[in-house]
Amino acid sequence: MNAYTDLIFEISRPGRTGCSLPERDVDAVNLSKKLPAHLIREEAPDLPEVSELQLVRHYTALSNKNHGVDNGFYPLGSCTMKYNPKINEDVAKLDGFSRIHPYQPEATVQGALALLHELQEDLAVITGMDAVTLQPSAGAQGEWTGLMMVKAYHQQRGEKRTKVLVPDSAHGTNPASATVAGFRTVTIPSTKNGLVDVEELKKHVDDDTAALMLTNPNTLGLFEKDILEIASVIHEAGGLLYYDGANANAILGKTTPGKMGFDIVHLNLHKTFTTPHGGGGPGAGPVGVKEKLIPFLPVPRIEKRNGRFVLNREEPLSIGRVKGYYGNFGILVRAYTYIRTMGPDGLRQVSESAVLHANYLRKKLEPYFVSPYEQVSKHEFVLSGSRQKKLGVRTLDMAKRLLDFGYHPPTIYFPLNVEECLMIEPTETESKETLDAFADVMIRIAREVEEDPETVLNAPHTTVIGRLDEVKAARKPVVRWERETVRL
Amino acid sequence: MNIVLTDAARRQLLVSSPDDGRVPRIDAEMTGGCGVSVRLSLVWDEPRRMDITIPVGDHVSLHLDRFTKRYAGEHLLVDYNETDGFVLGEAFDSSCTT
Repeated sequence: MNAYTDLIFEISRPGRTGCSLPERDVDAVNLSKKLPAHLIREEAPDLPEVSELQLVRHYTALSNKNHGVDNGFYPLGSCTMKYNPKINEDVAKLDGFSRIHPYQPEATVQGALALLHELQEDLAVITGMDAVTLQPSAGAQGEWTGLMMVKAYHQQRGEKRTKVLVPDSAHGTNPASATVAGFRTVTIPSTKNGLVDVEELKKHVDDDTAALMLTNPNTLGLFEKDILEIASVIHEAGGLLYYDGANANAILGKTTPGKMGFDIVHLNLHKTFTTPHGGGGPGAGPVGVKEKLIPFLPVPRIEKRNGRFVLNREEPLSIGRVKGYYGNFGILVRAYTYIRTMGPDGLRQVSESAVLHANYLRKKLEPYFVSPYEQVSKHEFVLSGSRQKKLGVRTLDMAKRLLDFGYHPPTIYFPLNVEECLMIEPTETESKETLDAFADVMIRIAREVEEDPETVLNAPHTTVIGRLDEVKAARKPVVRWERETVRL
Repeated sequence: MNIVLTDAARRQLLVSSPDDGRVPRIDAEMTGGCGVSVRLSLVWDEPRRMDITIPVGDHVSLHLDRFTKRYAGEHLLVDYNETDGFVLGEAFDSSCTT
């Protein structure tokens, strides 16, 4: 076995097997009589042939190379990589939740529907909305769902608005979702203080404005203090205000998007509400709306009637179903468990601690990096590597160096309006000792940039593989293993 | 590393040369988040420590930092036009879906 861990195909040996099948006790079928010729293989598939133990060791070795919150600090800004309590898993595995079927009659799954209904109500309170759908299976799908409701809302009023405004610090999914939903996006610049430029916003708001998508606190970790004025500007023009809940970890129990004037909210349960980051799924991106948008929510809606929970499929203005069944149920159970475990006071403390941790780290690191914004941040903050850039070392180099100390790097080069950006989100679940240790390493790297830049430029040194040739990977990607391929 | 300047780029480089100590620099700008995108530009900038200098004739040398060299590839064509300014080789994008 080499340093990479050989591919499963490379440890394969002809004839080796990890299982034994019983002797066939039925007649063999001649496939050529059952299937068209072009669908029948001429050769057997080139599958790996390994023993069960080899298989277990191979994938265990791979899993040991992973970095996750369970084995190290993961301050990936905007992604809220916080600890996922194991009680969430225990509850999700209960037979009553894990061994039911979405086609069961409603009467036999009243407990599951009760959980979903309570979660809808909890999220409505947390966000200050009037109703919530749990269907969307990711934050970005929540955005799309919200925007389809925006479109339906305007159409129902006899308007065809085409423009969605997004600030230049927005998550990339915002303009992407707006485009997929059929809108065109207009970017609103930020002020030098990192906040939405309200005067610029006013220039772009008109009767073609369908919505403004905003994150508050924004991706710089700064609270949009003019949010009430912004809401007024949008609403007076007949537009809607959309809240990207990616940064909701900063406001739990302190304020709500509803109080800020937002009409629609999506939440990323894998960020704020400690469900696993699925790397593509399963996920959940519930969407909350104010009363005027309730008719457009996806169906079926989970409702309580006469003490029983029912699935309401009869909403004529609904945008329809956006996900099979009722959302990713197991993920929703985990979020529900987290909310019930924490309670209102616990959730408020989450945000207070998240903000405290971010500012503690920010103050420790400010002497060593350019800090582009002076004001107190919320749950995350940005630094600029522009000082180090002048010394010939880039933010990416420093991020690679962090790997040598067992840390996942912060988000880098985002938001786009900060040169050589490092976006750090420590989350509330880390100890002071972890924050101090991380700060010490960041300071050490800043000193290395000045005194020993080669160490940083050639990092990482302790990982399984060193610096990747990203240019070659992008220009000449090899994404399919073939037996003739020679490993570099 | 092989950098080729078109005649238009060479002319513009010579006429736009400032006299304040700044040098012509090929600079890689990275934008990130879930995806990574690198864009190359030619700018007038202060020299940086550990700069790599590459002569391109007419007593002109282009400066690159190590980071930029890594992303510029082995061959780079620099052109110039009135609309876009200096136009450099090919940049690349990569992205993920998280």
